[in-house]
Amino acid sequence: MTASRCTVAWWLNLALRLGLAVVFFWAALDKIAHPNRFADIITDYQMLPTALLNPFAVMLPWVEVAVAVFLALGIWVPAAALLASGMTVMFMIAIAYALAKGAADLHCGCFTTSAEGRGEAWGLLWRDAILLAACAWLFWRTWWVTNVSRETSVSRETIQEAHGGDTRD
Amino acid sequence: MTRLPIFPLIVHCALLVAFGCVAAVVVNAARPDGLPLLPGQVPCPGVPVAWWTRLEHVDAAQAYALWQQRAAVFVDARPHEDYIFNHLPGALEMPYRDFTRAQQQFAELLNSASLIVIYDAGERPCAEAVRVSKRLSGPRIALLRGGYPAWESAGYPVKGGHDRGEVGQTP
Repeated sequence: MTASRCTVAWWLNLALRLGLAVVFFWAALDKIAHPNRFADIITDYQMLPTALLNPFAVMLPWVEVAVAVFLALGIWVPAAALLASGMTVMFMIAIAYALAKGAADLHCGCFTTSAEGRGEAWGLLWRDAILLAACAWLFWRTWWVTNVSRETSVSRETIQEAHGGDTRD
Repeated sequence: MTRLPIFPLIVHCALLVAFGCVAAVVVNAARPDGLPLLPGQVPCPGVPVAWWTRLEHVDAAQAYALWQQRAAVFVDARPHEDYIFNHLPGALEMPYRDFTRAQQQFAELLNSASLIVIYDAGERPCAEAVRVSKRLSGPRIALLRGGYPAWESAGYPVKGGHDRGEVGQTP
């Protein structure tokens, strides 16, 4: 029973890792191809000072690529999942900010920088909420659960040693 | 008491961001349309240095002379409603939001133009005209200083309503 649950969790982790890697890599591609258009899009959010717009437009897609590559390779997965969660929260704050200013229909710059790639703000928020849930779950499984279970098994071994191998604790 | 390894997590996050930023700076420096990362190099965000130095600027009087001589193609980058209300006679309607459709429609005219003059509402220095200019290719591209208001206030001819330069109309 426990073994099958572990297997299901392992496959779920793998699917989420690869799925999120594809999403973040895909999201970065068009921004890398057209950094000038992406700079226009983030200018429209009116959240960053002018001096930071270009560096942000150039660097954000590459951080997305770094996250995607590390998720796909399975290296530093908790850190990659945490960064993915952080970026998704940032996107949600930006969309909510635009929504609060009355922009019900906006160009989020999420997956395309084409001027026609506009979307309904509430729909974009829901999509990001699902993405955030996936990132947060992956982080929770790979960091929190792993470390807590390791600590628990270490504690059990310590207790067993203290009891001279007697497991009746 | 559970001790979670927070420090390695922070270090890994910082390294991931650093990898991304280093790759971004290297690639941006290598590409011809790379954006200036230091403030003050170009007044408008999202405009490569090479593009900005190539961009020409004409005032209303120069634009009128070009218009009279039919020496330039004029592009209106304002929203559709503004174009319908009033525009430069013969100007092509190329609003930023509907750019791809307009570009397809006017491809032949734009490709044969030796000079393209773009104007917008002239309210902000880095608005639609600059954005549209980045998406056009031509031997010479110029921005109309002060935008449409500069042309109108100089008393040069304007045209309201539908025109053959309107998106969706047959040119």
